[in-house]
Amino acid sequence: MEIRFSYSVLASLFDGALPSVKELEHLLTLHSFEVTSVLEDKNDSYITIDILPNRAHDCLGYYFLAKEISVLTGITLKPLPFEKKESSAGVEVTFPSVTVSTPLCRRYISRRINSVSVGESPAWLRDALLTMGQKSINNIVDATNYVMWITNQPLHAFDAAKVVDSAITIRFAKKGESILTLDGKRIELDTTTLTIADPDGPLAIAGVKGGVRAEITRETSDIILESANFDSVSVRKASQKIGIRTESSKRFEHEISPELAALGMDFVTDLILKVGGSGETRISDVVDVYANKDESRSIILSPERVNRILGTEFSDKDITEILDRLDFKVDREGESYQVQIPSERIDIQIEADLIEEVGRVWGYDKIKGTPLSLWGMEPNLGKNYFYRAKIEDILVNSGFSQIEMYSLVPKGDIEIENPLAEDKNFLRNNLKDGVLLALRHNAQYGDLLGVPRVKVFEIGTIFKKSAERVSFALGIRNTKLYRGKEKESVELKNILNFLAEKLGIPEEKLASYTEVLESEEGVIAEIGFEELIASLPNPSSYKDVLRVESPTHRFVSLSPFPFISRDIALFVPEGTEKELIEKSIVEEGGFLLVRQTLFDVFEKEGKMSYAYRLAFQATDRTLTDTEINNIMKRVTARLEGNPGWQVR
Amino acid sequence: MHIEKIQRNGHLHPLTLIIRDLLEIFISLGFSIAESPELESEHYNFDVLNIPKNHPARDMQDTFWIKGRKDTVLRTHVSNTQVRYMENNKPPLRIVYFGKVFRSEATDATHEAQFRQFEALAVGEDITLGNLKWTLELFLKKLFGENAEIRIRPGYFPFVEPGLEADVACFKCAGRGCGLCKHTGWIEVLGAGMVHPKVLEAGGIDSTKWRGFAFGAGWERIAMLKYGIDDIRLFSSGDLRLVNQF
Repeated sequence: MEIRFSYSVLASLFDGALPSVKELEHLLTLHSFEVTSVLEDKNDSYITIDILPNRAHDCLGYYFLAKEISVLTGITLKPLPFEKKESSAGVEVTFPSVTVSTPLCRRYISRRINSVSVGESPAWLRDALLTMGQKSINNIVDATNYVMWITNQPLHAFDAAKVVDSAITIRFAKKGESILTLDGKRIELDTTTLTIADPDGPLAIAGVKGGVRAEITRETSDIILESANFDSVSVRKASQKIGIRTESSKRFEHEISPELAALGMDFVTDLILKVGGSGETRISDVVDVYANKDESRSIILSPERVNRILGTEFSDKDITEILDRLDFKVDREGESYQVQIPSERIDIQIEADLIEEVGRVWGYDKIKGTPLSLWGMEPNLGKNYFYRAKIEDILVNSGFSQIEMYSLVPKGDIEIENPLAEDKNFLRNNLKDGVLLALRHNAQYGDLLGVPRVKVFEIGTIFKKSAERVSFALGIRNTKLYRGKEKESVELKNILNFLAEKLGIPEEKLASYTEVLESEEGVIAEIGFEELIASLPNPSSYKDVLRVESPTHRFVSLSPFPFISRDIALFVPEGTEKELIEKSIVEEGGFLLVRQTLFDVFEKEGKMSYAYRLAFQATDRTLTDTEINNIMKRVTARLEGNPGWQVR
Repeated sequence: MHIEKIQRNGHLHPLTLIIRDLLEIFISLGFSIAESPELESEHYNFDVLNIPKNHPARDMQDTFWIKGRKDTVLRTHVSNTQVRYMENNKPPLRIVYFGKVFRSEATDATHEAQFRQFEALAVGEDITLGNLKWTLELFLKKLFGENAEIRIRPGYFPFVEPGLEADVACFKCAGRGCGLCKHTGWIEVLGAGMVHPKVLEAGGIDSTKWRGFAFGAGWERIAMLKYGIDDIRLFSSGDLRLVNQF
């Protein structure tokens, strides 16, 4: 997940200078997360980081990303700038009553703060939020947002006067309930959506969005704070259902440790006192409903296994040093270590996760590559692959081109529940439909391809109602360029017989698995590949199947502009080298001549006639007849410049 | 420009050329070819690969489901082969597998709902990340040339831990930064990692005794990088203006 971080806000969390943006980019990419882009303006630098999905639990928060950077650089983090505040002495501040009706709310911490004054945030806070990409609203809301961005713990503040009886219930919405969000959207709620409610009804959609009813305004004097934790799946479903995604829901969706809620509450309390408090301000005790406390976790790590998995030779000290930097407390247990995992590192559940920590912090670039041991036996390519490759080679050597067509098509036996397009909602149950399309498509490009007869084949999966199977189809179709005498169906028959011969089976046997279709659009044969393979012997060795020269040239982009065809035919004295003619045509044709195809040759009265189809195409425009006519004039002139050459 | 060759012989699909190239290395290292279906159960496509229900990787938006069939999907990766194979074959094992995969993604020049992957899996008593690194380097040099510069960094896939990504230095701009490498100087080519113990166990393999690595890539993506093919839709179009260039 790509998140943009402000370099200056990150830097503010450290006791010491951060390395340069470039250096940070390098360190993070090699050891933690890929930095995908860096932007700079006059105020700040912005680093966009692809936080890996399993680190969204913590590293969406500046503080935890900073912790990561601290591990990699050794620069000390400052402790977070807050003091835990106790409830105001001598004054009873009614704290909110909190009823949690479902385990989907894993923790709910709340407190009341009386006599705050709501106004503009101080400049430092406005600037920090701005550079983090968060709009400034007012000092109270800004404080909750700031703490969220720093700690990854979403927070919310309610106007206490508008929360009936200061009584908060975390419950599913009742039928017919709705809420007007802070954005002014009316959302109809259903009974699967978790809400924060008071006796009058929903105040907020839990973990997603607050309602306008208990909104903090300039008139607000007393507030109720929420620092809670909601089940990730339920927040994701609620967010999807109502079509609202917020910074809060994004964080809960990725699961946060409920332990963070306490940190969040303490930090925001202190900050609100600083930015909105006065001598009059009073805070209540904290209410903390935490039914299933997250047990502190520890995992056994064996240094021997670290080295065996990574292929390294770390000493115990090498490993414990890294764990120490990560702030994982380590206790020796015989040959192994018991490693305490901080609560926010939800991604670390088993030993392999710790081995990854060691490996990545050390640096994969520093781990030496070591050869795989020798295998010893000839690997098994499988009968299917062996014959598939053999058939590919036989056909390609006979002038066929291999194609692959779409499996998602407009008709078939098996339908997609959630297709992307109306014409891609079935799985194909044959190959011949695709081959037909390919023949049709390529026939129009005959001149451009220099192909008088299109010959294609495909080996691929089809989906019949009963089973997924491999099928094999060939197609042959003449283009307008074809001047030969042999019918398409004859070549098809010949190639099938040739195939049978090469595979060592009788023609009739192959024919028994083959279905042939003839039309004005060409001839197509579809063959039951699996039946064919079943009738063939198991290969004794796979040695000759694979050798193929790997092309080194690059693909030439297809021009989206139409091509223009022209013919040129000429008589030349017998014995004239064809190559001479072709060289002349190519040279005069220039770079717009993309293909020349010899399509007719005959002898007449001691002279040879050659006829060429020329295809012209530009990469940047549609060519005009005038342009091409001029080229043809040049070509004709050049050819006729040779004694005895006569263009027809 | 002029392409002169008159068709004498036919043409293998560029994807076939890539796989034949790769199989040469794989065969020399002892990897056998394994097969698995494109129409797959939720179980083999997700559950046994440490992708439980409600995992973000499972989002309805990404997977094609089959009408009228419970728990059936079009496989979203070729990794469905892993546990299928492990259940029926004792370690040590080395396999390579490849084919079509399906994801519900909007189509454009670099994205298709139907594309292809290849993947390799090796399980043994003494396989290490060092072996994986060596294999990746061998592999990438075969594909992109002896001078290809490779970088390995942390990645995440549910079925491997540690998880890695491998990049190759951009051959278009030699690391200076351009559109192809999104100005980073590096092109992401492979995902890799040590097989997650849960996956080994799902395959009936004792993860305290055996360990393994797996790595894979988008097959079209590799072809596009290697040959400079600029539109992924050409691969399944049957268009000989692509195929006949090779």
